[in-house]
Amino acid sequence: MTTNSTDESLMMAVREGACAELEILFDRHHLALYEFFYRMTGDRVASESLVQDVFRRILKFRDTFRDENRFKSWLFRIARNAHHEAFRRKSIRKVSPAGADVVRKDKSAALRDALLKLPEDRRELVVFSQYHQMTPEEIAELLDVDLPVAEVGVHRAMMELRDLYRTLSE
Amino acid sequence: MMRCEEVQEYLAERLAGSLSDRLSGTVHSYVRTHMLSCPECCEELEHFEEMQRVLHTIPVEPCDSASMWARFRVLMGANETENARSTRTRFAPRIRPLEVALVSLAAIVAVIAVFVAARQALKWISAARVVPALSTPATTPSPGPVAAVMRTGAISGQVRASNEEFLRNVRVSVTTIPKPGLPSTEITVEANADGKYRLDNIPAGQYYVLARFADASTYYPGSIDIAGATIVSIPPGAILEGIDFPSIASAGRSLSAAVPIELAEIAGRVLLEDGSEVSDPQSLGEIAISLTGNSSSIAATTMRLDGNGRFHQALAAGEYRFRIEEFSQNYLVRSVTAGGADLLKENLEVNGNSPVSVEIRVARRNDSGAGKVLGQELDTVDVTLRLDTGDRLPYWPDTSIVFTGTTGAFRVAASCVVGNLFRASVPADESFVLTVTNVAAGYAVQSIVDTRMTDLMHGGVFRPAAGPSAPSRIVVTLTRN
Repeated sequence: MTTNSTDESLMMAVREGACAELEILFDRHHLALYEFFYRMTGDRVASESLVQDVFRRILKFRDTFRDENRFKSWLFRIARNAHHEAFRRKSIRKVSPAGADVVRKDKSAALRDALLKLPEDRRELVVFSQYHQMTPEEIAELLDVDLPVAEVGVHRAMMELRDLYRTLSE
Repeated sequence: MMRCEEVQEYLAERLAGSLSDRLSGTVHSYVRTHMLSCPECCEELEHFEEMQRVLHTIPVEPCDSASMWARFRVLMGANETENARSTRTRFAPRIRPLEVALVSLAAIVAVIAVFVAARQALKWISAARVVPALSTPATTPSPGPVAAVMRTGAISGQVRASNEEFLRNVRVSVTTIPKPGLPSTEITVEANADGKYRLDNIPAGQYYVLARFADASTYYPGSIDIAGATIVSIPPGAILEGIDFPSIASAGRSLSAAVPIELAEIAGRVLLEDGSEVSDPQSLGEIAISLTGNSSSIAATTMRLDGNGRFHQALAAGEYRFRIEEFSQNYLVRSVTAGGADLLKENLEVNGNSPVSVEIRVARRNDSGAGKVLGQELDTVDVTLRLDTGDRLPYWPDTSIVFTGTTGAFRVAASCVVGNLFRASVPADESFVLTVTNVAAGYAVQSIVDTRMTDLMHGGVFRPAAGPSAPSRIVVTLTRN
């Protein structure tokens, strides 16, 4: 295996016992995962821990990776589960955007608050589509839903974000 | 005719990238027709586009990549140990319960038989003989918890220079080999007064080793250029000794044993145009200033502002080119001076006699985003990449839109701001020929048109818009091959 190998072939090698290959996958994806968690939680320490948790789960559940799986979808599915579980266990605090009465410093802060105020399932759709440039097809695969469901979901999330952003910017 | 609500839904869908191929072509032409006569929808589109742009300005607090790597390696070490344990278990002979029962029964019978036989024997032997007690076999120590294997190594060596002064300020680092899109991990230590150093707990892997003096780097074993660097492989659990630097470079020249170097200092500050202090130095953000030794091709040294709008640097005396590499979006540079010298035009002479004092005068940028930067009137140009079907394009960070000045030597590539939006700052009084390079395979440029509807693909020349009221925009339309 080389650093040019695809994510999928590396993960298949990990599945077959060549766990050292996971290092290349960590190298490639830990920052993207960190960004996903940070956008979802707004908490650096929690996000760093969640990245570790994802790779711990990959090692534990490596047998469940199938040849037909796309690694990125599989990875983010694990990431979503890790995030949901951490919330359930309350090991990460719920993000608390500043209230609407706070004077906004800039648009970026207003939109950040709007994003954090979005319900979690909508927020992750915005994060996937806008920050990770995932296509509706990829999102549908990741969420294990039909394509139209993913499309409508992203669309609604964007509309909801726009409304919240408008309210917070006014 | 489409209604506004439908158009706005379309816009949201388009920005979300969820428009299906089947509909998009027809719908797109309806939307275009509607937009031409509907200012509300144009405003809505701008609002959406602005939101998308602002989304990408929300900062992410940087993570501690080095500590994440260290934790990952602990995880890998623990996994290795776990694997070794489970492998042992897997290959141990399997014993079935019936066999266990039979073997146990046989053992009990044997023990009873031995006991009875021994008692009988004792009766036969004279009671006067004392039988020494059998020594209790030493208890086999139970294996303690297996420590997680940390796959780290260490390196040590010595930096040499003719002037002991330098050795007091030399830092040695290992840095991971850069990969696009990934920050490098770096571990640094200061060499002692003899130039000796040792770096511990380095995650096993391949590294460049650098000795730094006055922010000029020497790559192991003695190259000022990364191309001449030797990659050092640090194996787990080992100490690599003798990673020595026979000589090091400073910002300006190489420090060989024969060349005495004069140390000098440069200090500077950022002031407003009228000479007053910037009331909120934090708003200056990042300003990176590079100094390049004029007499050699040695890599530049870079200084950054502290929180008070000041900078300070020790370096070797010499002549330097002074350049501002990065500058806050909030300010424009009016002048850069040192004594009476205009550093936008002249070189900077730094000698060891007294610290050189540099002054950067700035003005707060007005809302237009245009103004004098480094003596040139600049205009911001947004270039949007679109598909002829109206579909969203994949993210193409490799694509470049190059502006080449027709009268001067000005040439700049617009950088990708977000998604398919590219932005460039170009001199406002220049005209340009545009080229689009590195378009992804399977796509071709169909048209390049600016706000004045100039066909920039077939010989048309782009002239930046004058004034803030009409910002320059260019649309590049692509088609699938």
